[in-house]
Amino acid sequence: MAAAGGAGGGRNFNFKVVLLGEGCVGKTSLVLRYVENKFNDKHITTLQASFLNKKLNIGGKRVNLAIWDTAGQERFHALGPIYYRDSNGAILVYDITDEDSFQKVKNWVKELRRMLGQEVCLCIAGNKTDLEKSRHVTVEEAEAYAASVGAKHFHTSAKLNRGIEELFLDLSKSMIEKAETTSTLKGGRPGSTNRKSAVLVVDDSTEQPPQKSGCCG
Amino acid sequence: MTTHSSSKKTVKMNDDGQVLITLQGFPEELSVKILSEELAYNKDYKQYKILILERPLNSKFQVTSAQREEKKTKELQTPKISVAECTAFLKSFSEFKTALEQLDKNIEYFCRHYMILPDYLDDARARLEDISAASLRKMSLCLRQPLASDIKFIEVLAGAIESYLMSLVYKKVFPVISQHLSKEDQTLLSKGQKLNRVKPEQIGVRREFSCPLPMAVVELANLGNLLTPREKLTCLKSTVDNITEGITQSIKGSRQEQLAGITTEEDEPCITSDDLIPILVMVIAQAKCCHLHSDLFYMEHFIWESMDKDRDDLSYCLVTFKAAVQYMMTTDFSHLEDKRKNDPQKEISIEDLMAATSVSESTSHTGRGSPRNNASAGRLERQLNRISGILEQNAQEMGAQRQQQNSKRQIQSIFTGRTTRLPPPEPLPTQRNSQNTGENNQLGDFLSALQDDDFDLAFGKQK
Repeated sequence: MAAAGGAGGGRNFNFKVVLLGEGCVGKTSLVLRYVENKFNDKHITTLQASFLNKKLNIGGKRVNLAIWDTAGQERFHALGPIYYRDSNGAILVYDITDEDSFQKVKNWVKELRRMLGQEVCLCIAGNKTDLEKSRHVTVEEAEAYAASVGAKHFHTSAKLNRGIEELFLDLSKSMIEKAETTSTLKGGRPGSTNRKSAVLVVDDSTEQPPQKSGCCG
Repeated sequence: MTTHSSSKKTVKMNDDGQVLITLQGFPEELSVKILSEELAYNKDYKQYKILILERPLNSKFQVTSAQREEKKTKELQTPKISVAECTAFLKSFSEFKTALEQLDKNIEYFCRHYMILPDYLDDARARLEDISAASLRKMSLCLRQPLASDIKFIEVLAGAIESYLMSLVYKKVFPVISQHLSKEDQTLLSKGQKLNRVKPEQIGVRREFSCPLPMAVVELANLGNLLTPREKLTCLKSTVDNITEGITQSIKGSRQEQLAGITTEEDEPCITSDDLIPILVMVIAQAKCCHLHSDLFYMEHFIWESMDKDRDDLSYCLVTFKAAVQYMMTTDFSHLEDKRKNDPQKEISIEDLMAATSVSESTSHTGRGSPRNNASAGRLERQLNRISGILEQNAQEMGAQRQQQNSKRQIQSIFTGRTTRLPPPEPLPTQRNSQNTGENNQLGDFLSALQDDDFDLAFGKQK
């Protein structure tokens, strides 16, 4: 369930974000860079990059991002829907030096829109801006395309840690916005039951962050 | 070193950024470990960070006796996984006595009068969900404050009811599912058998991740012995954890052997979903689960009491398994198989394995001057290589045995089944626990043979 109901104050959100992109575009480095936590987190081994969590607090709203790496190799193409089912957001990564990877992003956008409709928030990331000299996808083309499909576009560099936090913050804001409108309109996302919503309202008032052990990873 | 102050209080962060030390405005000097951080933004989207500390900076805020009570609550808020745990948990509340009796009656009624039809499994699920929800309502009404409004506790309670219920209807529900999906189960099993003759690299496992993963295989091979969807789901998770752990150890081992002294932290390889799928395919093939398709269906459809459903790491594991299974089902591996036909499998008996491991044990102890870690890591690899052959054979036997068990299960009456029900197998949250499954699991011998060996230690403690 994405959005917690309840009026006013801090709320809890648990969003599923899928990460799409060809193998060599640097999507793994991008997300690892983002979730990097220099404090010991015994649940994250450096090796495991397929499922990651990031906790955010945006203006008092507690947000948990469950970031799912999606199989991106051509031979796993048919498996995509298994991964992105029920996701609230998607980050589509391409390599600015690789025209082909941008075409792949376009295909995924089509597929996501077809399968998930307008419910899903899309962000497109042009990665490897540190290799600006070898750019093969123009800024204008990428931004125009993103705008045409209702997605935000970001220029990122996992190597230099540029643009990544902005990307995730913006995506989180859109997902919160979407979740809030959805819950006002429909009283919850499809699939959520009253018990769950009712339950989470109480959670806000009883939640005691200092006791959090940083588990649930 | 960084110092931070606010309203006459100053703390400094030590150089490695792991500890906060109080400087000014505190009654005493304390150094407090930082557990984790959260990225936060204010209303203007200006960034700041929230640090979660091990304890308060001022010792006057130490845990009081009232708060110690909260430890008990913490215990109550921890999800219960195994059937034994769930049953004990529900029975530990005297106020639930009548509700539990009612639940038992409902379950009995369901088992006696409800006929599950393969095409109407959704209806069976809905009925079970209703029984579970009614029970939860009843139990919640018996609760006193603060537990009655403790949502974490209610969540645990709901999960425990669900598992308790599912463990008792397993013998009625599961055979119908496996009958419904018998064709898929069969296809998968035979695909797996063929894949056992294929090298991991041939189906696209990256060379550096290609290593024997006996712990993961053993873990997954136990899937069929578990009763509740939650236990099974936890088993998938620990299979994935064991894969990560196994590969980590293997990489460490080979690194230490090859590039002694050279650190290559920069290009640390990561296991992505693209990597995980072919690795899982190999593990699934070796574990020879007879009903993996049915098990996945069972997990997907018969867990309903979860707030984080479709969001958490357990769901991710389920999805990855589904992806791997779908990939196996839709891919033709026959061209790979042919290449290896002339390369017969070497099979080693348990005795041979035991002899082999004890030989290498003695050599590692008498090893001349090589650092302990190196020796054990290299040895670990050798052992893993030897074990993989044995495991193959063992799993095959176990598969056959389980098939027998299952056919017995189907003709057994549900009620005699219930009254004479053996204590449920222990949960398998970690690979170490998997050693306790014992008795009717042939792999138990295999593992106990390794118990005194530091092979197991290398997995468990070197993290």
